[in-house]
Amino acid sequence: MGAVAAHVLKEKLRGRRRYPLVLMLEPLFRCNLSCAGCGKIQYPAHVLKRQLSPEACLRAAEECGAPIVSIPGGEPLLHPEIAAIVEGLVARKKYVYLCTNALLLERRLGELRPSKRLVLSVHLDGLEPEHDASVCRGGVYSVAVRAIREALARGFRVMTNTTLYTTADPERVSAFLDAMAHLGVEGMMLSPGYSYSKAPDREHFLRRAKTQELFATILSGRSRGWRFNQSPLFLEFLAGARDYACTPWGMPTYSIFGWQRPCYLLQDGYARTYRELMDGTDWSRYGRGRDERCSDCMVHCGYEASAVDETFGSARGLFAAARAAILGPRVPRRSGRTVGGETAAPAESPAPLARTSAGPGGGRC
Amino acid sequence: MGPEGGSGEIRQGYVWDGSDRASLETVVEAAFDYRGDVTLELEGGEDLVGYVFNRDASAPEPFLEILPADGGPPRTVPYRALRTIAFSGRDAASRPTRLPSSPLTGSSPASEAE
Repeated sequence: MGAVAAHVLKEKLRGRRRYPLVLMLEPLFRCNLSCAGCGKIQYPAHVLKRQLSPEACLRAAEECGAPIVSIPGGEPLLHPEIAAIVEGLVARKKYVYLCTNALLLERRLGELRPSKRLVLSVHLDGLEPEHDASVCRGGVYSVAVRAIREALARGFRVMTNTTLYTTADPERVSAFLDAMAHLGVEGMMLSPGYSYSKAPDREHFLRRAKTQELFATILSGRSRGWRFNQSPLFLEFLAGARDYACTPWGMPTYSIFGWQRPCYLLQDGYARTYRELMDGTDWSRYGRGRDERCSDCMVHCGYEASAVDETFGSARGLFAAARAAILGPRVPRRSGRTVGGETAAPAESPAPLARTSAGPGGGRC
Repeated sequence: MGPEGGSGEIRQGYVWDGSDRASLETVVEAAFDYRGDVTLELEGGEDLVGYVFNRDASAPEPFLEILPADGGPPRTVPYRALRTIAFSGRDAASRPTRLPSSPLTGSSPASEAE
């Protein structure tokens, strides 16, 4: 928190309107899962075999200058030198979020060293039936929970990251958040899924009004034991209590292809340097109302940086964030209208995919 | 010309034969969007198989960038050097691929299907 605040204030004092908050570092696209809602790994085999060297990863982190580095993928623990990458980033005083499905976590935990700068961010989309359905394989939830326990016992900071789709049942999501709090994770991150055009299942992405309705319902029933590792103002945004413009430059993405334009989710091309990305991208083309692909997006990589910018950009923002952190995020009453002017359809019946549908994928896989 | 999907999407098997230069930019754009390998026939007769991961049609000298399937370093190819473009590899995003896979091997269904 302190490092982020210092970084934002420094950038503002420099007069920079566009600055990076989190580097999304994708060292490889190879994965040992093929999740229904993921559009990140559909490449030819020779592309999936490629990976960034530790030197390339550290160079990108220095070039970009963001205080936080998130390492998604692909599955980063499939990278043979992931420990060296993490170690190098921590040595450069970056806060590192190593995002993993945890299938290999127990096996590779010994290569990593606990640090206040390292967070193991475990992908869990819900309780066992929901998560195993979401990742299209049985048994993954129990492996991940076992790995979380082991990591906590060894002194690692552990958090969870959860993606929600139209199949999410607010009561089951709440039960999942209770379970994670009971497990002892330090923080939890929730996000609506982005409607990847390349994902196997393109039918269950949340529209904007539905996202707001879902998050408002979940957050209005929140427990005191839930600790979110997200800007409280971003949570209010997800619940429809406030609106933001997208800041796609806030979380720049670097992968084997280079610096991705314009953001973590859209692939409109690649720049060879971070400076080229920042100076050579027409940012005015992107965002809701400007690009159809952005119309339903409420994902953290576009909007969490907006919320953080507001938090540290004014006394009012700081006060709002402090209030939300202490009292919990403001949640609008659900009256069928949302801040975006969309009309929320009546709540759908929960679709507990794994409990009612045939097969482990519940129709999504 | 080769097979196109009903939606107008270019699919595996499509070949741009170079006779209609005006459509080159559109075809390169489709190759960039395609999650499979293409085979480029270049000036001089070289065949280059790989994944097109970038392009810039607005550059002073328009170009595409390709990761060769043989694992070699990325190559930059100017549009003017392109003779034909064949969508030769399977589109990894064309349909849900659900093959049996072992949990810890690191081989995703996508890669196994190659």
